[in-house]
Amino acid sequence: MTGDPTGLLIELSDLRKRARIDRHGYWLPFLLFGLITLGATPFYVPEYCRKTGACLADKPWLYHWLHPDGRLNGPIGSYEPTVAADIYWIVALLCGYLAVVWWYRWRAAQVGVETPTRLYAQVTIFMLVLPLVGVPVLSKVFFNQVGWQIALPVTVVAIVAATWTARRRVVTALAVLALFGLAHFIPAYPYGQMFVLAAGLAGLAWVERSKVCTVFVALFAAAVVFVNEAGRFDLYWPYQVEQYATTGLPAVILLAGGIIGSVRREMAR
Amino acid sequence: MNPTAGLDDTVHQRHRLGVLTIAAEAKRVEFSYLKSALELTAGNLSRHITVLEQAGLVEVEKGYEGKRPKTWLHITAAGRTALAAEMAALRALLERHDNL
Repeated sequence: MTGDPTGLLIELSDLRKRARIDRHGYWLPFLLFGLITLGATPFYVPEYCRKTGACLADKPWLYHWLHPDGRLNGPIGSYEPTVAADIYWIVALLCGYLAVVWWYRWRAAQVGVETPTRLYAQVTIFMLVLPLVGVPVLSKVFFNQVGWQIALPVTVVAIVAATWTARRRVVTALAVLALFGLAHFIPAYPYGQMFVLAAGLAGLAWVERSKVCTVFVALFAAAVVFVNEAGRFDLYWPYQVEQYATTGLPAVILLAGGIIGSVRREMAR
Repeated sequence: MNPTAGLDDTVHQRHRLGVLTIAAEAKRVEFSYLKSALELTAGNLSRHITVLEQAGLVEVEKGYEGKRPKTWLHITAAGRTALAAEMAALRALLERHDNL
């Protein structure tokens, strides 16, 4: 290492870049979550309800617990995905989360430098648990009882108070508020669980500090918003491909990001 | 104030600055990774790490990976603050030099 300040700063910058490249491991979570998203396809076989109107009444209690306010229509039209889709996503997202945390620890043991995954873990657990417990409880015993005009400000104040001691309290409070709002979309949207993936991967992009990772997370998030919101604007896939396209589009983005990340890692060696 | 006053002797030593820079980029970093990245001998690196540990800038954690002993270190909050102050002092020094 050199002694003059300019050379020293350049060398330190090179060391930081090298450590950053060496610790990158986002490509595997991208591939894993791409496959998990593809794996959800069979659970979205259309089950049309408009004619009979009996779909919601026939759902088990678990479905009503997970979707206290019902579902919005997506690009898949007016049918309700089954409770099997909910169970698939909960199990897959939990296993995916554990696999990602294990992967970064395993990779650290191989390369000698570890990516901090706490932010990813916090975001994913928050987004997994809140729709399972928080949203149903808040919806049933709080928002529906006292009305949103009171419940919403009380919730906002509670979140701000809970994050008051954080190191970056404004950013933390805004992030938790945004995640809290996003968590309420999960039960309502037909592909709402993809929001859990998008939020978790955004946390991963933040800690990875990789342009490629950030770009693909942004593309994935845009695709998730599109597949969930397209129905509102009467944008529908052709009937023959809708079941595959709505999971296929976000999955392909993740798989492409994983493959490109993996190739870049090999080239950087 | 002269920018050199912002330089901390413990941190300013270039290899220790290298250790802190790499450690600040990760949750934790392994001894052999630092040895390779900084091109130091094990003895030299150990001495630098001891200085940083005694100053409270890094924490060392020893363990095993299978049967192989591994030494990990992670930067403390004080270490991050000291590194940021050092980088700011170096940049100020350069800026002052360029303006001469």
